Amino acid sequence: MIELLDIDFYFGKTPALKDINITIKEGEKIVLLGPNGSGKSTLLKIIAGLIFPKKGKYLYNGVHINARKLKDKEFEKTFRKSVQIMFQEPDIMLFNPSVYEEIAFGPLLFGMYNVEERVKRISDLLGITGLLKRPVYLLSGGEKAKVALASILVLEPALLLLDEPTAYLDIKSTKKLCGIIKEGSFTTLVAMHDIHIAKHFGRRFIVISKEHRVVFDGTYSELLKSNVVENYSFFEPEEIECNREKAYEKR
Amino acid sequence: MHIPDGMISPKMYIPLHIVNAGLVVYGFKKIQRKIDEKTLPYIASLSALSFVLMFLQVPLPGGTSVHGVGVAPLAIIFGPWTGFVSISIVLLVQAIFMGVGGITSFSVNALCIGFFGSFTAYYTYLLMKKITGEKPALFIAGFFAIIVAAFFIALSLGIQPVIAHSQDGQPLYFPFGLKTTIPVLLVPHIFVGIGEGLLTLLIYTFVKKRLHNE
Amino acid sequence: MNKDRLMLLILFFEILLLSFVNNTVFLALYLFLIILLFLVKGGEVNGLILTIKRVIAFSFVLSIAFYLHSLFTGENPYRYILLFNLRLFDMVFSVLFFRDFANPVRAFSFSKTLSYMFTLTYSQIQLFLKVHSEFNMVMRSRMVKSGSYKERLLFFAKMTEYFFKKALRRAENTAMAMKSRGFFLYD
Repeated sequence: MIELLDIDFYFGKTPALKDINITIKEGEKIVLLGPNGSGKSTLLKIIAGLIFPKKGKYLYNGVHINARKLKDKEFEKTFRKSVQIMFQEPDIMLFNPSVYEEIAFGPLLFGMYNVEERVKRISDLLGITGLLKRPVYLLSGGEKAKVALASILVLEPALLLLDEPTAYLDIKSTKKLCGIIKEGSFTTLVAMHDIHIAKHFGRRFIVISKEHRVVFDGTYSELLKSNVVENYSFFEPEEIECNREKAYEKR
Repeated sequence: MHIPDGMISPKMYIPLHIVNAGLVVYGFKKIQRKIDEKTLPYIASLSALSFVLMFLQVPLPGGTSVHGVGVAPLAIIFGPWTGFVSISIVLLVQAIFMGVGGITSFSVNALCIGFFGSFTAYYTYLLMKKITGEKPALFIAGFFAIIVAAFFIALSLGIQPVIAHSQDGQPLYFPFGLKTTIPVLLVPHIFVGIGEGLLTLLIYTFVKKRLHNE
Repeated sequence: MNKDRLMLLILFFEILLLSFVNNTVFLALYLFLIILLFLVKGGEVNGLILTIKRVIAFSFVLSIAFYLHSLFTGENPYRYILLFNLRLFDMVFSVLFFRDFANPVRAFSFSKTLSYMFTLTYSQIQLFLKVHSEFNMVMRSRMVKSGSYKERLLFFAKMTEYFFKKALRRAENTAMAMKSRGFFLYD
């Protein structure tokens, strides 16, 4: 479904991704792990066709995705409908007057039928039916995250890209979300940095190092055995223990 | 600088509301084609910046406080109609969501700051660029946008006691005449104008660089 | 017509009426009623205080100025001061009432792009209000006494710069999200 070939990306001169080679088959559930600033969000944006690699190729279902290809409005329409991304800060995605309109925006735009029923189903699933009439800008962070999630899930995308989706969610909603991902037929790619939560979100784990390269690609048990866990101590699979660091000398 | 509710008489604000609504609709149709994925972020954040500038009361030595507007960068980078429409939206958001500014004074504010400010900034920039070069032109454009806006605000306030008063001559809306409003508003706005000029220079350079980088 | 637009129309009518009426008794009664209604319906008191703080500064300056002015002309200043203050607060409360009990974005959704611009600007403004209050807290927690004039100006400049860069980054992301959700596909 997705082929990323030798991808490099820079912000100005600062590198964000280096030599990325990943192939993803349809229906795979993937977790993207890496420390802050490793380039996870950038990778998701490339896959969503929002920014384009400076070097290398990105193929979606065999089609080379670049700025020129997306100028073709008909192609862009099918592409955007099938690839949905949830941003790290969910509230930037929301721009409609009410929650209902927010969720119905995509289905109406792409001409889906039974919009009302779809909106109702997805908001029941996420437990936000009570919010449908509220203005979006008055919601709390967690509620906004759920609305953002609902407004992309309602489109039934083939590929779902989630950037730290649990950051604003409570445990109950996090459990719901990983259930939806496990049961759904779509391909998912979830970026996270907390391994304890991440292990529930997929079978295949890809680790990006802070040098912006892929350093691991395999299952959870392989990940635990690999040297990645040791080399990148942020993946400590046990409970974390605070370091004994001295910031001040005793006075 | 902008006028709160209750200061402008209906004799003046009703016709101005109609004029302003017409201009906003016309301007909006004109700029709609310009709003795309590339310009939208800049228009939105410059509008928000304009809100911030209006919100932050900068204390002047001597007890009064003033604020900038940020209309010049919008007008120069995206054209005067964009400046006008954006400032109108900002003023409307302020009036409705914050209760600051006002609904009766909305059109006066939008026309003085948004319309005259934008067009002054835009044409001053075009004219001065040929004479003084780009950088001084940006400064001068920002400066004059403020001065002209303040002048029209002073004018609108100053004619209130003339056009609307009770039978015994007491004011009903804004009480002071032109002799007071023009100096009281224009003198502090010379300082604001200098600030706005510098700001225009800074923001223009920053945004142009970002727009070209992509 | 939806409920929000109806409330907007009512608001315009109220404001129009208030701007024509010069009877202080009527204006005072109106003020009393609308505050009562606001409190009974459970309006947001914090937002109210924020707005009133800003309006009072203006009302105070103008009242004093008119009082001083009347010392020279010899006329009785109190009637005007009462009139304009009542009218000002009547209008402010009407707006706040509308803001708290209607959805202003929906009321203004005459055009799609317009309502999006409205929402985006407003969400940026909300972001700023948060930044502003946090900056103020930082200022208070890190500075023991209130700074000098120069320090305060510097503070303003820093906050504005920080906000602008943050707003820009946010707006760029928003545009990307809108693009990904298909916003620019149909005109």
